[in-house]
This record gives sequence, structure tokens and C-alpha cells, in this order.
Amino acid sequence: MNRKLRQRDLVVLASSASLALFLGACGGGSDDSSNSPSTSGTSSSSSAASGKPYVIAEISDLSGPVGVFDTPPYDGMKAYFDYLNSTGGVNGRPITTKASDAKGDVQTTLASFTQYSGQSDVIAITGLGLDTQMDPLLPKLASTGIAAISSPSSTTSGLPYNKWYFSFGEDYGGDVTATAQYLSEKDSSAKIGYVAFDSPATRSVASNLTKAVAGTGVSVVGKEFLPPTATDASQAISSLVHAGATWIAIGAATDPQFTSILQNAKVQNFDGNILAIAGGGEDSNFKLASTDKYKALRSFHSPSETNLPGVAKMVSEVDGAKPDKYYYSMGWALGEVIAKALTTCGSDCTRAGFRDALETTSFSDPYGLAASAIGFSDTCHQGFRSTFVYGWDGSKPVQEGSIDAYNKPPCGGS
Amino acid sequence: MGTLIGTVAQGVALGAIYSLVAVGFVIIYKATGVFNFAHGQFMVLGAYFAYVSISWVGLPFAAGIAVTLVITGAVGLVVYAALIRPLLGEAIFAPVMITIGLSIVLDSIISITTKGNTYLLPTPVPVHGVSIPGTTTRVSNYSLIAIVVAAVFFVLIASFFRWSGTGRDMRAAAENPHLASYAGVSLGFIFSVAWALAAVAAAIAGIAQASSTLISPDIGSVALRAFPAALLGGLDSVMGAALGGVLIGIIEMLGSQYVGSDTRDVFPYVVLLVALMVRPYGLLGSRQVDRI
Amino acid sequence: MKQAAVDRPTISAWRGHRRLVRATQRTRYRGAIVVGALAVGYAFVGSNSNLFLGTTIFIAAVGAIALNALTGNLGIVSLGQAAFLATGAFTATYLGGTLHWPFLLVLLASGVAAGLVGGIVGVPSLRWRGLYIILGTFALHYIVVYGATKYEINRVGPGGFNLPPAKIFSWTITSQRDWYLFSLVLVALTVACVAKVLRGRTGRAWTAVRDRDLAASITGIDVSRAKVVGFIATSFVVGVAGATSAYFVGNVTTETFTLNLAIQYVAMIIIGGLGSVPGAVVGAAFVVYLPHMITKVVGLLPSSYPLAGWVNTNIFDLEAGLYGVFIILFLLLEPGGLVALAQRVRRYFVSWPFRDRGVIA
Repeated sequence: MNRKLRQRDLVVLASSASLALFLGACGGGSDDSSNSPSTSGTSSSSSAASGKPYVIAEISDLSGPVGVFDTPPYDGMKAYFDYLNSTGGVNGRPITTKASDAKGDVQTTLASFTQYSGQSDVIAITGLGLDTQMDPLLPKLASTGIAAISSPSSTTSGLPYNKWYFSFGEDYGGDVTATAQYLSEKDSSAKIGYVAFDSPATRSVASNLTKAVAGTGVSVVGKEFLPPTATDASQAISSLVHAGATWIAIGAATDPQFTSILQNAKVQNFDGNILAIAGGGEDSNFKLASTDKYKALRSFHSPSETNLPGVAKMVSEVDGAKPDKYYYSMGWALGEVIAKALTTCGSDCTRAGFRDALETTSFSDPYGLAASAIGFSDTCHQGFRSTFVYGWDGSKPVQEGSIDAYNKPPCGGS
Repeated sequence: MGTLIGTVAQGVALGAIYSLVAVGFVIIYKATGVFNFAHGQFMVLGAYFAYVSISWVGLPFAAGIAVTLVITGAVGLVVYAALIRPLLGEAIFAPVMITIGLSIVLDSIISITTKGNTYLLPTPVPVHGVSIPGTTTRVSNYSLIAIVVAAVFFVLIASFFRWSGTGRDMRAAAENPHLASYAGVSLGFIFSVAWALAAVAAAIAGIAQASSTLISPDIGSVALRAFPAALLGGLDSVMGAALGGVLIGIIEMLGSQYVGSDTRDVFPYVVLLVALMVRPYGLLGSRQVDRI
Repeated sequence: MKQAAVDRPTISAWRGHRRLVRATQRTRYRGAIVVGALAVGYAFVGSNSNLFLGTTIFIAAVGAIALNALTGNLGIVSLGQAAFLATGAFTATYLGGTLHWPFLLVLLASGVAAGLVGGIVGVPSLRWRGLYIILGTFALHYIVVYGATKYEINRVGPGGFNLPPAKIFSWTITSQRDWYLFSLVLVALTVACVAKVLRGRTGRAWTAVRDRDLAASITGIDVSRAKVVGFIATSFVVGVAGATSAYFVGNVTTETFTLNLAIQYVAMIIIGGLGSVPGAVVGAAFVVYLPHMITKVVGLLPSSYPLAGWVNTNIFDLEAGLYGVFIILFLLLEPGGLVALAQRVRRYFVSWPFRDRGVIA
């Protein structure tokens, strides 16, 4: 009886203490103050830049299966701001970031958006690219008057132009164009077997790809969709191989699915080519494939390509852990664009002013990280226009060419 | 016809994994009446422990696997002692819900410690395809190894239950816990052994699954699809787990081939629902007796 | 009169009893009115972000109350919450988005649709006991979500369905305050109705079915009817919650309706307290607010604290895992949930320094 009582006393005291802590924390933070703490990773505000910080708020899937894609661009962007702050910031002010994990859920996304848009020091939102999370937000961007820049993916319904929406990511429309163009140039009678995890977006890519190649020698001979949590692609690959595919196009897949696809291609003695359209372009994927028949689309150079002067410069300016994912470079480049817009916007930058300033960031790429110039205009809100194709030379991925993926007017040529 | 045989063969290969997972559910249910929702996480732990033992510590493959099985078994014991034992005697809801809570916590721990990094299982023999005679279908050599491993494991488990003292005690305790304890069977010991054994089964299943793809946190999702396998075979029948696993594997592959690959996820659950409506105690399970 | 005092309860004793009951009810109503007034008052002072949180909590509470009645009172453990929410939400997209029915009618109709699904599941569930119900609703979840995904892909594509704004006669619910007030009314209605039903005959019958259904059937309670009606009624409420959420968010996709969502609702009722209507509301508030609370607490950690860096890097995984920890803690230490915990804390402080020997205060 005594032992039980002591246990209960402990429970009571512990819960009263937690309640007190809870209430204290509850009362402690008020949303509209500009002293709200960062929710993820403290970004350094160094001594060189003082003054009221510009705040960029990121909402994306920072954990879970997509976290491996969404975290590097955020890290890259933060690293660029850190570097900039150490050399004086922008207009004398540092740039800081806040982040919130969308967890792949629309409600969490909306809640974070409501929270950040209610904080007066937040000047723009980054992250968020999946259609499912961004589409409900598009009308709210206009009614709240805050710009959103998606990375590393973007939503097709916001392109090519939506006043408050900017894309610094790969969108599915661009994927389709890039794939169709690459294959028609490389192998005009390619028979494509498309495999991806099952989602409305990947299904739409598959059907758009079929439409895009209709009338050319290229055809889509099979489409296979894996349940998102599945790790076994044996049946899908076996079907595609039996359907006579000469190219296996991987739309979007988790790491285990990639491996299973590659392994099963070996099992089936598949001697055609494999093209990774979205994702699958990291060095580790190439090493796993270990064949010169594996090609991947990458929109930016990987930080591991230090033979390129711009990449080496970026890596030398990074403070802390050395990056290795190419989406990191995408984040760094996005940081550059944001900083440029802030410079133009001035030290009294408002949200509307920032939005306008984004459209005036003239195109350049000082670090040479992308396949084309980067920036936005007042007719095109897609931040980068081309994508690289990478192959394997036996020991590392090498660039084999580039494709103008987002090349339709108003973003590109005729 | 060739495609049919080939698809069935692939189904059997997939089913081997399912039966390995399902037998873990069955062992725990048979002994303690609890359904373990955290089984998938045990699989993932087993796979990662195997990687650590073989690649980091540098043990040879067989020794690494053995060490992994021991460690994972110990984890099963700890889970039983800390979470299940305090709740014995409560309604089924409580221990099941606590295993659900455990699965969430383990997922989070795995994510934090592995940082989402995935690894290739360092297998002694490289992966290559093996042709099924009489068809154009090829399966991975590791699928065939998985089938052999599953068969061996089932023989071992069945003999354990049949011939060893502890095994007999477990069967007695499952039939009638009160009588068994009067006869001198230590229920606590039985339950601990059951959980440890199930964790070992999970580790084997996890390693088998990882051999066909990567060691990653996603491996555990197979466990969700093994529920129908366990139920179809009968939640308290070890042989039922083998049968159910193979059947679900075949059904899933047939559906995937002839109906569409996106239905793979849903067919096992349709089977589960049908089984629940028609024969809830499964193909080889024992009927439930209603007690007032 | 003397004889009456010995043989039967007297009129005055009866009056005394009624007075006690009314007094208890008055306290209960008084408490509810105070809480309600505070909640309404907050609508005018709270920030947009907090009002958004409040609305989310209220809508979640509606679903939690229903699940609590099904699981806590009727004893049917269901993992099908996400499936019923999805049914409500997708019906709302069709009736509201395609057919343009008025908002309130859509809510009711979506509830009916979810109730129908509940009825379809309820019939075979009669044979299922304990574990099998859990597995059955688990299978239901995947099948419903699969159907919804196919429907969404074929009709609309990746972006999901968008819903028109919610209008009640001439009032369009747009601002955070509007939604807060509407959902507050909704949850108040749900609490009142469900609590009343559970206090009456139906509630007592359900408790009997939960505890000893064979004995209950012997005493004349139609167990099958109770189970099926219970499934239909609770699914109806969950469907309404799903439809309301659809309008609130403005967009519906199948990705929201994961098994994790169903588990979150079960966590809500465990943490709040099984079988208790206010417990369901408190549990909903707890689970919805937990990530924000963690963020705030972590933000208070000084950055010089050695673990601070590690915590900040892993904060999202920690948040995800923490509510699993709470499920375990509550099941092990306080199975009655926050409601029981609150009572125990109150007793402790009220009777301090005397140790609580377990006697009811």
C-alpha cells in the first residue's frame, strides 16, 4: 500500500509540475511579438550584422520519408544567410530563419502558415512545394499579402505566373518536358516503362508524359505505381521488362524503392537504360547503380563537385558540416536570390515590397550552381529554367548535358 | 500459363517474408493474447543491428546475424517486462494500445539515431536473378534464400513447440493459463520467452526484407501487410502463419499482375475483411469460446 | 406517517434527493457555462493563430467525443476514425463542391453518408470481439482510403478537391474568428447531445454491453441493435467533423487520412479519459497542442545548454515520438486519463497533509 501511495504521490507532483510548466510556456509566447523563438535550429546572428533581422519562415516536410529531400535546401539557404550575416548582412541587417515541420499534412501546413503570417517580422515563406500542401495556400497568399517561394518542388497550378507564388523547385510539368525532350534526343524510338510511388502527382506525370510523346517515336509501354510505403518493386519491374521497355523512367521514389528498382533491374537482366527524373540523382544513388546506363536529372550541381570553381567557393564559405546533397546547392542559390531581393527592397522592406523586389532579381548565377540563369521576372515565376543530365563514369557522377525544362514562354524561348 | 506460374512463384517468395513476420504475431498472441503493433519496428531494429554488427563492428556475416538475433531478443524481453507485464489482466485494448504507442516511440527513436540514413545490407553473395524453369519470370536469389530460411525457421519453431519442455508449457499456458500455473508452469517465464522469440522472428524477417532492398525505416511497413496473413492462417496457429503468409503473398502478386500494381496494398485487407466475416478464427486457428 | 418513515422513502427524503441531484446538475451546468463564456470571450481577444488552433481543437474534439462514446462507453475499439473522417470530407466535396448544396445541409448529409458506412461495418462487427474489431476497422481504413484515392485521382488529380466558402444564410464564415465561433457552437452542441444520451438509458445500455454483453442480452438489452446503432450514430458525428474540417481547410486530399490520424484520435481519448465526454475534449486539446507546447518549451532552453543543439536538430522527430510516450505513460500510470489525473491532483491538495488513503472525498 505504501509503495503504491508513493508512486501515486509522484505522479501527482509530476503532473502538477508539468501543468505549471505548460501554463508558463503557454503564457510565455505571444504570437505577434517579434521575439518568438526559432522553432528549428538556431540560426546564427553574428556580430558583423546588427539591426532588426529579416525573417524568412520555412514550412516543409522536415521529417519523415520526404524529409531527406526537403531538409537540404533549407540547410543550404540557412548556410548562405549565415555566411552573408558574417560579412555584414543585407542593408546592415542580418537574415534569420524559422522553420516548421509540415509533416505532409495540409492542416499542419495551414496552421503554420497562419502562425507565421501573423508574425509581423516574417517577410516571406519558403519550403512547401507539394501540390497537396501548396494548392490550398495559394488563395491565402494573396489575401494575406505574403510571398511564398517553393523549394525543392513546386506546384503546377501556381505556374507559370501567380502574383504571390514563386517556384524555386522542380515541378512536375518541367519533369515531363525534360524527360520527353531528353529521350527524343537520345533515343528516338525509346520505349518507356514508368515507375513511381503512387500519388496523384506521379499519376499525372505519367499521363502527361504519354501525351507529350504522342506522335513521336518515343512511347510509354507501361506504367507501374508502388504503394508509397512499399519497399518491393519486383513485380513492377518484371512487368515493365516483359512489356518491352528499353528505358525505365523512375518518377519519384523513396530510397528503398530506388534500391529495389535497381536491384530488380539486375535480377531481370534488364540491359536498357534507367532514367531518374525526380530525385535519385544523389551520389549515393549513382554508386548503388554503378552502371553507365543509369542517368539522372539534377537541377543543380552537387556540393561534392568541388572541381568546379563556383562549387568549391560555396563549400569553402559553408560554416560547419560539409554538405553532400545537390538540393543543398539549390538552397544556397535560393538564399542568393532572396538576399538580392532584400537588397533591392531596402532596409524598410515590407512584404509587398519584397514580392515586387523578387521580380526584379536580374538573372545571374555567380556560383555557377545551376544549369541556367536563376531569378524571377514579372512574367515568369520559375526560378531556374534548365536541368542537368548526369551519368556515371565508373567512380563518380559526371554531367552529360543539360535540358531546358521550363523553356516555354513566358519563361524561355519560343 | 508461364506468367501465371511465374507470378505464383513471386507470390511464394513474397509470402516467405510475410510468414516470417506473421509467425511473430502468432507467437505473442498464442502465449499472451496480445497483438503486437510494434512488430514492424522490431524488424527495422533487427536490420539496423545487423548492419552495425557486420559493417561497423566488423563481425563476419553469420556471427553478426547471431549477435543481432540475441540483441533483438533482449529488446523483446525488455518491452515485455516494462510495458506488457504491468498491464496483464486488463482488457485487450490496453496492451494493444501500448504497443501502438511503442511503435510510435520506436519510429521516432529509429529516425533520430539513424538520421534517415539507409544502408545496403552487406550480404556475402551479390544479388542476381534466377530464372524459374518453364517461365520467363526471374526472381532474386535472395527471395529463394528467404524461402529456405523461412522453412527452416518454421521447422525449428514447430519442433520447439512440439518437443521441448518450454514449448509444451507454452502450449499448455495458451490453452488454460490457470491450470498451467497450478501445474507449475511459470507464466512470467513463458510470456518473456514468447516475446523474445517473436522479436527474434521479427529480426530474421527484417534482415530478409532488407536483403532485397535497403536497410531503412520503411522495412517495417511489411508488418502492416502481414496482419492479414496472421489472421488468415489463424492468430493462434504457427502453421497457419506459414500458410496465411504464402496465400497472402500469392493473392497480392496475382492481383498486382492481373488487376493493377496499385491494388497491391488493398487486396490483403480485402482478404482480411472477408476472413473476418466468414471465418474469423482463420484457416487453422481454434474457435473462440464465449465465456460469460 | 410513522409507518411510512419505516417502510418507504419519505416525501422529504425524496425531495432531499432531488435537491442534491439538481445541485449537482447546477454545479455541472455552472461549470460548463463559465467555460463556455470564457471560450466565447476569447474569440474577441485571441490572435488569429491561436483562434486557428482553437478551431482545430474544437473540430478534433467533435470527432474525439464520438470515438470516445464508441470505444469508452460501448466498448468497440475502432481504428477506423480516419476512414469515417475521409467519408465525411469526400462527401462534402461532392455535395458542396460539385452539387453546390448549402453548407449546413452538406454537413448533415456527410454525416449521414459516414453513418451509412458505419452501418455497413457495424453489421459484420457484431461477430467480432476485442482484437478482431481492431483488425477489422484497421482493414476498413485501408479499403476506404484506397477507394477515396481512386475517386480523387479520377475526378480531380493531384491538387485534391477545393471547397467553396461556407455560408449559413447570409453569413460567410471566413475569418479565423468566424470559424472559431462556429466550431465552438458545434462542439458545444455535440457535448450537450452526447452527454445527455450517455447519461440516459442508451448510455447505461451501452455500458452494460461493454462490460458483459452476454449478461446484458439476458437482461433484455438488444446487444446487436445497440452495437449497430452505436456505430451508425458515432460515425455520423465523425462524418460531420470530417466535413466541417474540409470546409475549414478548404481543400481535401487523401494524404491527410493516414492510419496515424486514427491513432491520434485513440490517443486523444486515452489521454483525456475513456468514457468521459469532457475528457475527450481535453484529450483533443492536448494532442493538438502538444507540438506547439514542445516548441515553446524548447525555445525556452538557453542555447548554451549542452543538449540544446541536439534537441533543435531533432525536434520534429521528438515531437512525433512524444505523444507515443504519453500514450504509454497514461496507460501505465493513469489509465483514467487527464480527467482522472485532475481528480487525483485535486484530492491530493484538498486532503493535504493527510495522505490520500483512497477514500472518496
